[in-house]
Amino acid sequence: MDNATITAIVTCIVTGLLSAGGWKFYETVLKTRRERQKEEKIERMVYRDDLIGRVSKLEKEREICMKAVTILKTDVAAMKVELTYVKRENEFLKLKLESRL
Amino acid sequence: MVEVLNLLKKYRDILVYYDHQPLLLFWAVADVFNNQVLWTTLSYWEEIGQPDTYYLYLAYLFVSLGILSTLNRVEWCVRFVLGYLMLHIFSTIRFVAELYFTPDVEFELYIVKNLTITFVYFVLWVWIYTKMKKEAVHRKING
Repeated sequence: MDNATITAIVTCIVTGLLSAGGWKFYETVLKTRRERQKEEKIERMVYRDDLIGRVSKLEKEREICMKAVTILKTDVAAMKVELTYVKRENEFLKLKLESRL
Repeated sequence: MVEVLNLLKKYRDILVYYDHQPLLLFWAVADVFNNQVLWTTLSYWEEIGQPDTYYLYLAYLFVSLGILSTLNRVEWCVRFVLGYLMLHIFSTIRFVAELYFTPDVEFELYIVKNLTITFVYFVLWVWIYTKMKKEAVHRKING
């Protein structure tokens, strides 16, 4: 084998090895980036699921509170009516007492 | 001036965004039909004192057929493209080294022309290989 062929073979081997190393490095960089993106996505999904859970819980609490408010409103309206009658009766009793005196 | 800039931008876009498959297909077909193994015999090359050249052409034929038969599978095709690139580098370095090791060789114009064309082909194969390898790596990572 002459010198030119040996030089060519050595150059090819070195080029091949450098190329393989370079692509391996590129692949590692891409893999790392991909894994980081996956982790970020999982974190976002966990946060989203947590938010969905919290919103659902708050919706239920809201419904309970709305029911309580409706009951309270009804009670307040009934009490207002009752109070009007009590006031009227009170006025009536006052006038009765004054007339006796 | 603007036209020239647009043209240069177009060159850049072609290299970055355009696909290499049609070029690879036409190149491989042309290379197979232009291969000296199909048109000459080993004895012919032995007569002119270059038997190794026949085997080099044989390797080129094998790689070209490999490219043609695996164009639909980038993971395999990229290996044949690498093989072609390696053969190209081997031939070029051998040519340059022979010039270097041969005493009293005159650096004539045809040598410059051959080296320039070889360099353009080298850039072409590096470009094709880089594009294909990137695609293969992305496919491997993304499944």
